[in-house]
Amino acid sequence: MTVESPPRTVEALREAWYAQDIEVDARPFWAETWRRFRGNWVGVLSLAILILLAGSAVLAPLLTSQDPLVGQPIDRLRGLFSPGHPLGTDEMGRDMLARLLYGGRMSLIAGFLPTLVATLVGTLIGTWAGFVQGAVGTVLMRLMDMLYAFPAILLAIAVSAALGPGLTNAIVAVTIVFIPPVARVAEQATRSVVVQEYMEAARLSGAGRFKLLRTQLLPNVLNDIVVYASGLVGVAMVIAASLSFLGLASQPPTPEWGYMLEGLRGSIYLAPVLVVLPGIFIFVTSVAFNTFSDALREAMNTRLN
Amino acid sequence: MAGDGTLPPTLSRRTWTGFWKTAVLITVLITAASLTSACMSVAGGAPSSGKNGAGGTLRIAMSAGNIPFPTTPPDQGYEGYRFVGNNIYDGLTKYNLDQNAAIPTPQPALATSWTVSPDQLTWTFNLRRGVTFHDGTPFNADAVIFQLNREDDPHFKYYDTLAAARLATYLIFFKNWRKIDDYTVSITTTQPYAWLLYDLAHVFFPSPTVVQTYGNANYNQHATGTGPFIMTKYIDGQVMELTANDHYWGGRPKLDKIVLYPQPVAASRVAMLQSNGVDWAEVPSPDAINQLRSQGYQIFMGEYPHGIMPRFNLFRAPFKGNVKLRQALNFALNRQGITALVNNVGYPAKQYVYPGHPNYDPAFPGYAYDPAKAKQLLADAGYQPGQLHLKFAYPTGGSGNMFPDPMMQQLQADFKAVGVDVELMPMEWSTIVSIGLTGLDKPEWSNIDILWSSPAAGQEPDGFMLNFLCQRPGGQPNAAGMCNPDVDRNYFAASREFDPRKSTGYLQKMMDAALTDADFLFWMHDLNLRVMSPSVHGFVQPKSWWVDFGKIWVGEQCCGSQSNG
Amino acid sequence: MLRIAIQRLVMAIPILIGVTVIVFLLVNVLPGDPAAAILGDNATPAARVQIAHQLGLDQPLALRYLHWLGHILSGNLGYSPYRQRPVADLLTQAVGNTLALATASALVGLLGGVLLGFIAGRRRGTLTDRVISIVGLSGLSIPSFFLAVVLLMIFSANLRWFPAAGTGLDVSFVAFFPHVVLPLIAGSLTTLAITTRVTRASIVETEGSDFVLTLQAKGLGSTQISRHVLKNAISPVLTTSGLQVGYLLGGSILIETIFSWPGIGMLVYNAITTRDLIVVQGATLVVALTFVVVNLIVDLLQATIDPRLRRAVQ
Repeated sequence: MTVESPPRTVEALREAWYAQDIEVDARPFWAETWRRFRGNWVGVLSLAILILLAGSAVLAPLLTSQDPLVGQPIDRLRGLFSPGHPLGTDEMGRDMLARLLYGGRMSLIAGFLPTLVATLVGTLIGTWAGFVQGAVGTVLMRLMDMLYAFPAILLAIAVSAALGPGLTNAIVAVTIVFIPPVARVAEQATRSVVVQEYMEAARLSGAGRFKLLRTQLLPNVLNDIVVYASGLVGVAMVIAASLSFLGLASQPPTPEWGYMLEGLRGSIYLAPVLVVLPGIFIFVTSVAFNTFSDALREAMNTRLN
Repeated sequence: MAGDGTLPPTLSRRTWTGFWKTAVLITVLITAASLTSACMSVAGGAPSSGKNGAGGTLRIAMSAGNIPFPTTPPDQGYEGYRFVGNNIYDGLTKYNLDQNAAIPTPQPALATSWTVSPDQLTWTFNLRRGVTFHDGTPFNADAVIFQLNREDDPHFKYYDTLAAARLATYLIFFKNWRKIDDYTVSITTTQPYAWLLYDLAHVFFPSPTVVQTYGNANYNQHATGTGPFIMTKYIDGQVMELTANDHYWGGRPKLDKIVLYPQPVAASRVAMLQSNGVDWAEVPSPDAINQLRSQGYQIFMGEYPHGIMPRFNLFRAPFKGNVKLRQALNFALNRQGITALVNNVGYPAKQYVYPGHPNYDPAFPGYAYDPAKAKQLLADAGYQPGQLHLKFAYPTGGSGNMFPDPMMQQLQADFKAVGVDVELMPMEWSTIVSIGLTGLDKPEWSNIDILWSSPAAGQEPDGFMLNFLCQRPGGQPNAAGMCNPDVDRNYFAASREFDPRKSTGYLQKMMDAALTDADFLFWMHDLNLRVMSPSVHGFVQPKSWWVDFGKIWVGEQCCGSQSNG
Repeated sequence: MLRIAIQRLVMAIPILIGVTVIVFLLVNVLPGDPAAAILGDNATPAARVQIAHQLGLDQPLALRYLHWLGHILSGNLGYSPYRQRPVADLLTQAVGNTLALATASALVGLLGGVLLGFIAGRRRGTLTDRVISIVGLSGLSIPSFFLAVVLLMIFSANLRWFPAAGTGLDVSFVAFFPHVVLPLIAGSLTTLAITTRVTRASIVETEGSDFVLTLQAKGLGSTQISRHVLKNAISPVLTTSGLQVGYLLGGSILIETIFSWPGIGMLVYNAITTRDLIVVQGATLVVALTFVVVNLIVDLLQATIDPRLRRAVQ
């Protein structure tokens, strides 16, 4: 269902409001988005890759019988297609395929979890600030600005260092880093929706704040947030990998792609291909997320004006 | 407006084409500049080469995280002495590091001879004449007294708190010191102490003029000693240049210059070596050795007094009072596995010191890999498989620690195989050091069962004081709670024994006591790995943490691809 | 215009204060005993207590914050016991190196990105556009530390075209250029990619807008139209450039650590690993404050260029 241009007189507005005509209808919108998304083969491909990666990470125990945590030192640094080790072994003799698959779990968690939590918290903060504006809104956004004043990686490193090593702490760090940008997007989106005519009309019509929030505000704001957040997952993953690379996140023997890259650096002379494998996985996942996010944005790109 | 997105025709192509051309031109220029500059020799101008057996500039990539401060003594542990302290300064004695037949011992340096009083408490040193500091100040007894006061007399005007703290262990037995005449100094010890000469090798003498002119706070930028090299450039965090001292009392070193770079990451040190950024790289990644050798680089390895000997927490259970348990764990270690893991740059330890060391006891069998025996002893100690859970604190890096990560993972697997669970507690190296200074009995560290330790196992006999003694002289804490009266008794007897053979005998007995009691995890010895380009000549790898730079020279940059530009 | 500037400045002050609080809290929660760590293996307990007192570690948190703030405002960023120098000294020495690299990366990234974005936007839909977009996407997705390691291994250790560490400035000024190439490539790629995308999107949107047609209808020459297009298109690029500066300053930790580039990033990383709290405090503070200032400048620049924003403020 396509969106029609909004009514232009106050009477028509009131009529439309009661008739719920200009309300954004949730279900057909998403169906519409999916239809548009389906037409974009690049987006679909990236989604397929992501599902494949996530699936293989979740199903890791079924895909490999090797132990990702323990290996025989005698077996170290075997190359690709070795017997029993299709992707070779790392510097401790552990199976690379197993490490990459189980590591995928860590990396994907490190990508999704902070994004999810940050999106929830950031949206709450941002929409509330954008909606009520005034003193409360300003204070909230100033607080966000204080955190936003730090370059993302620096803040992640500083928080991670403060909390101590470990993937959990790194996830907390990345979450903290992401809340301000999400809040900002939410606040800006909210503010731009709030000034739209239909919002003004709805308010004039006497609808309560909460109803306004739910029916008018959130659906429109969510578009922007969802698109933004989908791009964040890849970034979160790369930041977590960077922290692991620096030794601030994943600790031995936990497999995680960034950590594996650091561990294999010294062996680059014996087995250069092995070193590159975790990096390639990070790269491909990141590309897939970015492409997916782009395609999603295009598919969702409807505005009421 | 055309919805297909084509450019409206009146926005002329000329504008865009013009812009595009300029942009492409700029890009081409920048690329050309970079490539040209890359062609201009990777090292930005090759450093001077020597010939005929002398000269050249030696560029070194150290494993330290920063350039050691040129204080007396330097920081960064033994790497500080190795590259900075021993080059800028001399002590009254100096180790003979230019040979590798035997462990180096203290030789005359700024003191040419000495006598010991009959009561063995007072040493009288005759100082070398004709020695000047790099700034021209003459070296004499006044300089010696000045420095000893600076390091050990808190009321002295120029007392240096930090330096004194670093040197404290080596001054424990110093009671007082006196100038007898311009070239004679006497030092009195608190008890008969046979190892004073070893301690004196750590006491460096700066120019009193410089200290008095700049004060301790600003001394570093003007560090001045009597040593074979003069500090001519020092950018903290980046580089230090040492230039040969033409008037050195021991003869001008062959090298013209030494350049020091800090580089804590092994892979980067190797990259620097291969890209001709340095001629000497400390401790490369073991995996790189074969390739480096095939490319013509010189690989040096050799036994020296260094080991990884983790300490049991003997303040409480499970290790306190349970010898069998400690022995069990010693038998559970697959040391050969680690040797393979690190490409043979280390080897299994049977005792605390390496075989061939004076204090090694050939009669004692030592420990080896015997999982059956380990399981038996474990059961005798009262533990079923799966019952024991240990926490092991270890550093994630730090120079002199060999390769903690893979070693610990192997250890975890080894212990699991005999039924003991180990929880790894990785920490910063500086934290591990601070635990060693506070102690495992303190509440914040009391949950640690085993503490990593990488001692210079036997570089000097008084070094054993750090890890072996129940009551450490000087009021320093006993970090692991080891309290074996046999050990202490033999140690102190050795320290008072002026006859070297008898002294060694006591130390061997001390070792036996510690071995029987299994007070440590006798794990691995290190092989002093370093790699150099083929243009470095004259280097002799001693059985020591320290190195002699006097006979090295660098000449004829060799091989590799020099096809740039 | 002045009103906006003052307004923005006033709004920035609580942010600056908040930044100081956050930095202070972050750093003073770190575990471990820095006093013992500085002195090494041989320190006596008395010496450690003395150092702890010297560092002021035995006072309550709020008091330490106020003392620290007072010192900051008078330009005293503290004294690093590890490096045995004033923190301000260390920062001054390091900031030049980071600025050199960050400026070069920003120039290459932003200018290159605008260039590529123009081309892609102008030739949208063609193969050139597709290729540039793919390159942009890859540049965005590749982790900088991965790229840095690969570059180091291939072009430095293997091919020996470029040196592996340092700035080269201790040897000579000219030696800077071969040393900066690899860190520059690794550091600027993300900026390049993001700027390309933003510019392209902006060009596409602007060219398709009504006002361009209007201007043409009015008979404006092509150069003047381009100027108008540029002015409108440049706004989002400016916004991201401010953010890119932040990214470059923050991401410098990884690049600098891998290439041993003695800038602020490497300073912070070494300080974290040696628990040199004071340096971590000072460096993080300086970087964050710089970021705030840069964004402020970008904000003002945008307000100058784009009248719509000025109105929005009111």
